Amino acid sequence: MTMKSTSTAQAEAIKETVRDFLTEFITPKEVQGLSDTAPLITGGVLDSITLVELVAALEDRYGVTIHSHEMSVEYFDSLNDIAAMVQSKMDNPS
Amino acid sequence: MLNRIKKGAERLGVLDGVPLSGNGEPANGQAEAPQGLRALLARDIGLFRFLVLSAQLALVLAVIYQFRIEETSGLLQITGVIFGGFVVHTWLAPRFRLPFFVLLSMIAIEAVFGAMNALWLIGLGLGLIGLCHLPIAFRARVTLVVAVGAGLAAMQAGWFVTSWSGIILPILGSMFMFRLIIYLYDIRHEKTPASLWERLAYFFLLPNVCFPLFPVVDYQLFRRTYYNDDASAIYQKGVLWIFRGVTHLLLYRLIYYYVVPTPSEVQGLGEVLVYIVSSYLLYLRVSGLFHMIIGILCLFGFNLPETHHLYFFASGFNDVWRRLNIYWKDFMVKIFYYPVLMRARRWGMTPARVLATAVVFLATWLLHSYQWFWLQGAFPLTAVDGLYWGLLGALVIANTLYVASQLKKPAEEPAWTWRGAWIHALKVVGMFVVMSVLWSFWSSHSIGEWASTVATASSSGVGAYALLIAGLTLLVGLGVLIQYAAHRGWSLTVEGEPGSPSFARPALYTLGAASLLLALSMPQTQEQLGARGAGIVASIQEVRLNQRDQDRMTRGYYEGLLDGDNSYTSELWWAVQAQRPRDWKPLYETDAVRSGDGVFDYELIPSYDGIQKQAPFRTNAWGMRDQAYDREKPPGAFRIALLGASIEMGAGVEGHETYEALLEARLNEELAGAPSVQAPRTDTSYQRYEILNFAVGAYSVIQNGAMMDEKVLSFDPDLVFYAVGSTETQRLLMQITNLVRQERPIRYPALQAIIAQSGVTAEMESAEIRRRVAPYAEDIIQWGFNKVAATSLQHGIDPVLLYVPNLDEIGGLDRTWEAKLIQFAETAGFTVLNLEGAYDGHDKASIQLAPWDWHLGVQGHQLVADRLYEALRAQDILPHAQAPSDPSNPVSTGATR
Repeated sequence: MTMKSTSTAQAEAIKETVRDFLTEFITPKEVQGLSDTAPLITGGVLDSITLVELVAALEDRYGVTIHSHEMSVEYFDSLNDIAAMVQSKMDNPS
Repeated sequence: MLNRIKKGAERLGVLDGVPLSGNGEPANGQAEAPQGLRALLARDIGLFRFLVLSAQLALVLAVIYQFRIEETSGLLQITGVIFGGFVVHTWLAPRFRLPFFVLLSMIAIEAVFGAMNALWLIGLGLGLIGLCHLPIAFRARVTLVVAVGAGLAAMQAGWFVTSWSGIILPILGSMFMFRLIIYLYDIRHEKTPASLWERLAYFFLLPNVCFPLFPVVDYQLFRRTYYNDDASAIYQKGVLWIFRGVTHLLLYRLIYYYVVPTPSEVQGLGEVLVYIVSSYLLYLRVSGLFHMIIGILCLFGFNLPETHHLYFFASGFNDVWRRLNIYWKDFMVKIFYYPVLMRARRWGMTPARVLATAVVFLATWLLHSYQWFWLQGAFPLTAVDGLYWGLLGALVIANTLYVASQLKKPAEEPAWTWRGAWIHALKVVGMFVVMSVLWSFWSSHSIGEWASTVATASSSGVGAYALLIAGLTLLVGLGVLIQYAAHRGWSLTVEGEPGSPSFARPALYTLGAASLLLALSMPQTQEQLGARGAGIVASIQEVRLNQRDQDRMTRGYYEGLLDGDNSYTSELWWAVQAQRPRDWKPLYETDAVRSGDGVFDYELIPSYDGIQKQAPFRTNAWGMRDQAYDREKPPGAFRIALLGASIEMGAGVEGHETYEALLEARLNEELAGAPSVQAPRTDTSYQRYEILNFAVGAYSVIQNGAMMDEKVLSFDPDLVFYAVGSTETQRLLMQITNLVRQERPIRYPALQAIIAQSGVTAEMESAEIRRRVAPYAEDIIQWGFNKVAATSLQHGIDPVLLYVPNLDEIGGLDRTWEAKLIQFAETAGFTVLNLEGAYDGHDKASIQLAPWDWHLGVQGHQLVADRLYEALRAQDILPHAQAPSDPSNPVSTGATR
């Protein structure tokens, strides 16, 4: 398996984690309809309460630390954004 | 990572002046730089859409002009800058747009404040931004910014003053007080550096120059949303939101002028309901302003989201928090909620949530005062504010914990049910009622005032409560129907579906609705509406205080209520407060008065020499704001005693500029002494006219009635002028409140009896006393008039009542009260001189003492003096003053009698 495919698989796994998480807050039908670029914060899917829960879930699942300044649209507005951010932290733990 | 790279490229694209659409593609699919104007227009929004947008914007700005929207804030001064700026900006090559926007903002600053003040404002702003980027440690930069901020705060507090500080500091504060906090927070973690123009544009936002109350725009949001969508959609949204802001502000005016009751008018459940609900509805002013502000920014490509979203339809406390001033909520969440919660979560999520939310509301309370300090110079920390934010915070915490406890439950498929619709409608109506109650509390002056106002509902019978319940049920039913309509796919939105905004629909709506409003603003259309309809439309075309704020303004001058009054919801009040010099004090707060006896709460100190409202203020040996007179009337003198209040006393003008002094001088020049060239006199029975000014600021019929016995008679006047105006009741209620609360002796049995009937006691709140006495105000005024007239007639003195119109009567307001006062006076035996029409042909601004003070200025006194002189001659009241043969030139025939 190449590095690129590993990375892609990891990204997909993170998105799946987020989708699983979201099923607790929105309907399964809505989750299925979420594309990788669908707006989560600006689209009203995530709010300040659910975002905190999601951060806790990602930290637990992937062993990363997410800072308060990262809890923003820049890092959390789509499945792609979230996957990129978590992957970046996993690749460069600091 | 690819996405991040794409985002970075997107930003760099913006930096290079090539706006990209939200999906990373160049806007409208055009990658290359424009080749000439046609190419640019074709690529960006197209000529047709440009013309449609320009027509809409021109119409909306015309409506703003016709309805004098935010006239006191200077918006009308920059409508040309906005329109011209939009036209030029749209045609500009994208790389020039941000620099042009910054330039435009600076031109607007110059247009509103003048060149020197603009230089100071821009220079200080650039300095503050520069401090954030000094090549030193971040903490050192923050320390420097705080130090400079403290210096500016000292200026704003009035510790030291410059020629520019009072003018530009509120706007500088508005630009930097919150944005600098966000900016410092964000640049610390900034991944993609912004260009200089982005940074400057963020602080120098064009509409800020005339809107000190400004949404807290997030720096990241500001950058992220710049041309992140189709340009024509952004511009169309901008025009639509400006127009929506205008409609909010017009609705606000209707409510402000016609619905809001004065506290003394609230006498039962119905009025309590109107008082409570109208308090909350007045928030339309803030949402209107914010819509206009964000709309203007959209015209220049800043695709910022809504600041308010259907906030009257919130269904819970968290929902209110998310719909009402959304930018503030985001600011709080970013700077306080997340940082506190992430640190505190090691103690468990529930305590962390409680703590973070509590910190947010504490910060909101303090930052509102901080905001008020920069805008108005005072730092109000009132019990009402504390209780309001504490209560709202507690409710949001409870709601947050409840919502968090429900998070783990699997979401159900949303489906339409009548039961669900009823529950939701019930929540919305309930939330509206609760928010109205809380808002009315926050808007009140004191807890006691609010409590006593609301308590009047208890005087209503069961029928009124049944009606209230029926009304609320109807509202809930209406809510259900609206939801059903939405479920069936009926939509009233003009913006199109989310994600696929329409251009034609909002454009047609704006063109149609703005044209209708513009037509309504024309006198020819108003003539077709009937007298009442025309009156209402004409009234919302002007900016004035409503009755409640006029009361507050009058009371404020005499009760010191203006300082710390943090009303965000009155357009004029806001402007008035912003301009009022700090040494502009009501008479009773100055050293010109001392405590008096009996019904005289205070009186002027004899032989005082000082400054009042920035004008020299001197009293004679008898404690009159007048020149020296002997107590004994000189031989050959015709002596007039003038009773009245602050206008007669000459608040804010010099002693020789009062209408009393001007009239006296003219009488002596034209009717007494040596013959005058202009109007040779024909009789020399009276060598001199004397008008003794017994008027004292805020004196009411009670003090003036007592004044006759206690002071006036000993000066042996031949005539008494008693000047009254439309503020008679307000002064009366205020004076009675003081008398009752201070338990001052009232030695007039008839007056005592009237006051006793109202059931007031010294322990009651001021508002409660005012409310109880209000129904007896006419009786007391009649008592006062009778007292002055009867005392005068008993001593052979002719009593003359002067009706001096208030400046707010310019333009023709309700004259009912004027007619009543005149009727009371005639019943008492006065000869009445109605000075109505004295200000004809003059605008209010040229006559008023100052924008923040409703008293007469120098020209106003001159007009009243002239009108009074004409009236005296015309009605043959003075000896030797004969009615003129030529009414258009009343003094041309001289005076004979």
